Amino acid sequence: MKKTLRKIISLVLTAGMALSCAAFAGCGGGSGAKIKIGIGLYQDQGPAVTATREFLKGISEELNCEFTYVTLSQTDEAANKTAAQQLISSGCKGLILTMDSATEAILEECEKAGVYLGGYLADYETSFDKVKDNPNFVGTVVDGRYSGTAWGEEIAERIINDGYKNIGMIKFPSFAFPHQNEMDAAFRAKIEEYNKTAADDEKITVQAETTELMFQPLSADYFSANPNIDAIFGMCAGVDFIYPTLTQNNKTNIKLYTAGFSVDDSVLNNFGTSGNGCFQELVFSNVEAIVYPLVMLLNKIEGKEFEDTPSEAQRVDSSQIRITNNEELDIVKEKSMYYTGKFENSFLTASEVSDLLAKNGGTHEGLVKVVQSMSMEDLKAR
Amino acid sequence: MQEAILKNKSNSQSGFWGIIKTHIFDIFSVMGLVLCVIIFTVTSAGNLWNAYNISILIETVCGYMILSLGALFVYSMGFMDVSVGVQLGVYSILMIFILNSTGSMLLAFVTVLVLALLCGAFNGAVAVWLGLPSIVTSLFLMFVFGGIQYILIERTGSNMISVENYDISRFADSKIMITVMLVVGIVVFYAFNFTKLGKYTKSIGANEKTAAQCGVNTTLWKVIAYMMFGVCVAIASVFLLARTGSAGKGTGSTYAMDIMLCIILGGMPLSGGMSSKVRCAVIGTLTYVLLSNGLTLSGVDIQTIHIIKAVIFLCIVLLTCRNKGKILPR
Amino acid sequence: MWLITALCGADNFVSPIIMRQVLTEGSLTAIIALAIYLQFKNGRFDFSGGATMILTAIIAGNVTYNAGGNVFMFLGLCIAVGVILSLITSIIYSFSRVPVIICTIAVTLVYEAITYLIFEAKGLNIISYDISKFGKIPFIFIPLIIAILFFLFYSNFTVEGKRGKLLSMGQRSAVSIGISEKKNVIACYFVTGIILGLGALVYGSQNIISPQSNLSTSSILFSYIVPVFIGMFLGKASVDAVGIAVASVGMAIMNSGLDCLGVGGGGVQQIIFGIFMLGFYAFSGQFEKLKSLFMRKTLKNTI
Repeated sequence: MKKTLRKIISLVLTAGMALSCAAFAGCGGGSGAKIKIGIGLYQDQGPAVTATREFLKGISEELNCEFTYVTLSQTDEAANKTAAQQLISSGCKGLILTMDSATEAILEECEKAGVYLGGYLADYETSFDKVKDNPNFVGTVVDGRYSGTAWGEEIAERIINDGYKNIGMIKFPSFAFPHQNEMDAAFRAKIEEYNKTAADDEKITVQAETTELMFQPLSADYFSANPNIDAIFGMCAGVDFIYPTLTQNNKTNIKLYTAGFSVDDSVLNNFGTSGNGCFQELVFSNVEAIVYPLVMLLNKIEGKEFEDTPSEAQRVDSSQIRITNNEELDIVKEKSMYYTGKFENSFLTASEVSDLLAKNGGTHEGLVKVVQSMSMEDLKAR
Repeated sequence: MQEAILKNKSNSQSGFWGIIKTHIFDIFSVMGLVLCVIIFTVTSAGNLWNAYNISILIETVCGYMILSLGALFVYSMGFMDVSVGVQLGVYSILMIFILNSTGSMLLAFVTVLVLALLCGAFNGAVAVWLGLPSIVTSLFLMFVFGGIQYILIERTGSNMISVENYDISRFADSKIMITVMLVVGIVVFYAFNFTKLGKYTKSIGANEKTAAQCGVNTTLWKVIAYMMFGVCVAIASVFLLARTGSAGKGTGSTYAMDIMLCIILGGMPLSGGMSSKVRCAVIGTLTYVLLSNGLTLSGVDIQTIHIIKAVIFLCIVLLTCRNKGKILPR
Repeated sequence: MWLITALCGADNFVSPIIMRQVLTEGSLTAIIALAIYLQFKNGRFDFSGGATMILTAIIAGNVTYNAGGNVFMFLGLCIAVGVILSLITSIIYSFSRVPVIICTIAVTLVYEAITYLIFEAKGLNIISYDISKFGKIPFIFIPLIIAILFFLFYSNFTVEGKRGKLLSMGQRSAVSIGISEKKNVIACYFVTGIILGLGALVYGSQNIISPQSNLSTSSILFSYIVPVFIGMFLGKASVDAVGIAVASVGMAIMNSGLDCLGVGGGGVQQIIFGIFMLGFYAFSGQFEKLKSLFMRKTLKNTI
């Protein structure tokens, strides 16, 4: 009896295994004439992922595209190459990747397979100069601005206007995020310029040496080493790496100007003048910026390029949404696809994206203008 | 009475069904692999077998297979090595440094080989001499190598470094990978089944005290087993580097757990002992790589992939790793 | 650590903020280390502790938040869900007859995968809310004390706890004299579930939790196993639970000290941690030899 039961259990488990695979299987690549594009995201969940997928789903019919997703590894280049290879093997004609990891090796694979590669919210800092002349690389759209100088100056201006006097500086390690050094330098230069003409009691003190977070949350000893700070310029992802430490140590009276965004109420209810008012600035990039690599890929795949296509691949800045007060936050909650996760809130309709294609009369200049016209002002104007 | 019992026993083990009964778990592990192949052939609409995908599979399998074959010697003793991932990362970075400054692959390989052998010796010997559980030396190497990897990359001033002065992609050729896998496989098969190394490591896993009392120098054979693994780690690091030509602060970090999963999927008991087999590493590696590849080709959603892999893993271990007997296995 | 930081010129080590961090970090470490140690003590190496804790925190935290519950509801749910998940692990282990490491690895993969399937894969973020009170001083001591009490009660005052010691020292003999191993496993996992639930309560109150995959929760196991080994040695002088608690606070002191010296979080900290760990284990492994050597010398001198 026991043996029979074991055999039955084995069969049931085997059948269950087979059924679960079959039940969750997709089309497996046999989808007719649709162009298959592989998307490699740096996370497998979160509002950015949801919004990106919704946007691409919304435009897929119009563009006659089908999208396949993989999650890239933040640490393992071989895994990322495997993911890219699997996308190619599954029939993808173009790849859009959010990470500069094993890029040269991936491009070699793309060349062999006749597939094209574009970047999304990645500046390709390490490999751009090596790959920009590669005919299979169509360029990349950066996560905001390539140079960190402008944002550094903007935050400095805000802090001067908001009246905070002791500023903490926190960023990720230089080797991983070199542009944060530019933000840091620009911020300090602006403050120094202000201090030259400010009265003694109006001068702003900036933390002498910027604290580098080794990809771990801020340690509590930061507050004993910097006891008097009243605001922090967090060039790193402050929502995940700085705010939890502020909360645990009852330091939410310190104002946080940081990059990143969260749809969580625990963040948004403490923004500006709400709740503990810790968050004073949040910034995020629009998911619609993916149209840059997507359109460039489709042009290549369909064999029709822009008349003004640059001779080498470009690294294009995109506009970001900077939230600086509660009114702007309300606008984001109402109108931004990043927050709502709904295609109807997208900056671009499906037909507008289609019009950007070379075959429909689009130009490279027009495409760049579109990805650079998605700022807070543009959101307000919608 | 005893004769009757023996006769009964030998009757039950002879014949076709007797063989099936004796090797039931091995059969299940092979069936698991075959089932994966069949299911994914269907769900990927045949993409599993296109030439390009075969080359990807060979590339992916190569590193895992070499590591799994080397890990057999360690796991058959009932030990595990959690530092293998960070070791791979550091060896990749060191090879890049040496290749970029000297252009000599031989020097790069010999350097990492020596380091890997030293780590193997450390893992095997120091634990015994200091009276520590083997996991402790492995953890020590994991922390130290992890720190070294981080510092090396930090010093370069960049997120990752690439090979500049040498065409390492020649090692990414499928023929070379298959040849190396076959050579390593044959050497490991021979060493594991026909030499003292294999016999003694299995007996250490079965019962270390008994093995020692039978005259086996358990310390010596532990060291040799770990060094054998070290050789395989050094070889695997070459092919890992050849795949991408670059390394960063997290390169290789997941391999320690991946190797454990490969071996478990092949039906290898983690307590080691006499039922350790080379085919566990082979079948387990193929199943593991095929699972990831097949699910992606089948268009399974990225969030659903995790649960499917977990359920399949659970099913396979329930079928292949069950123990008989009165006491619960540990 | 104070001496080292003082000699290196870091004068912010002895401060209320650092002490607060030490106690907060040490309390969480102690609770998780107790859960790992309880299984260790009963002869099992359980891989699934981290995944159980993460999944418990996500379920209990989100249900509490969505229901508008309070901190006690969070506590109750954490314990309930922790117990349920641990019991599922124990049932799978007892009835599948698969070796415990393999079984718990499989369970870990399943629990990690579930974190993607529930609550829209958002994980848990309740650190700014009132329900995260148990993650802060002084309330953090409540789950710590409950965890220690349950551990001590189970280990020293229950029949199953004592049977667990017999099973770990001689499994075959213990089963032969009639001890029901399955019953013992379930009882042990029940108590582990309570402790992991308390760990989930504190962990979820202090951290933003994302869904996990590919055995990433095993890093929790490997991080917290160090205080377990140290605590086992320290506990020989008194009670093992006290040893674990002391070891946990000690590790927190070391981490905070390294942060003050400016080497926190980077490669140097990992290397120092590894060397310290090996040095301590080497000392504890040779302790009996050193002790007998010392006593022999003392005896010689006396004679």
